[in-house]
Amino acid sequence: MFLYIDGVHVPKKGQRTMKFPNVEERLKKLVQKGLSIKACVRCASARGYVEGEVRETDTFPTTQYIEGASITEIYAFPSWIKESDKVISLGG
Amino acid sequence: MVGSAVILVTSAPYGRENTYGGLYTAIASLDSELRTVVVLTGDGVYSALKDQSAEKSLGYPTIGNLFQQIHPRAKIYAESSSLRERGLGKTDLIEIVEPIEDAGLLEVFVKYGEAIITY
Repeated sequence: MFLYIDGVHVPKKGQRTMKFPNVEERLKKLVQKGLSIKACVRCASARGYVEGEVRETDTFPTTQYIEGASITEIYAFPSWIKESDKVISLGG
Repeated sequence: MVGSAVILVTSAPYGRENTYGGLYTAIASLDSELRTVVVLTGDGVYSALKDQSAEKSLGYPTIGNLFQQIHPRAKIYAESSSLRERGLGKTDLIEIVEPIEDAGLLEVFVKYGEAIITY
């Protein structure tokens, strides 16, 4: 799952919903089943999620995301697209 | 394996960041050797207007300059029906953006639409 624009808020830790489903809990279940989550660094940085410089693994540090979600360069997006059999875009 | 992508920009520029996101993704896709086409539709066609100077007025990067990083490596199309609905025509657009009718757009999606990424 690649997150961009406001989608980068989705893996934020500590979500407490009242009547709506808790997206954090749902994401954690998907991560347990093998889902990888990457967020666009431009979008995540603009929203305050990036907390330092790039790591050697090409990810950007954050303590605000659930385990299994990371912040990466936009170049991870086309790279993932090329590796995929199917791509579903939910946005716009 | 997916080898092509259509970047579909549906939002007007500057008020939201969607257009920038779409065009940066298009640039990254081209750099990653993914066959890429940019399609502007709905309010997205406003991105193609000539004589934008967002640096001076808003302090934002001008969208037209990003188009220059995409073309000629990729085609940039503006949906003709969206242009007509907004009283716009080819002479209103940056030269490197081509108006495209529905039939042509269908061909683009068939040829390049293995992944369609909407912004």
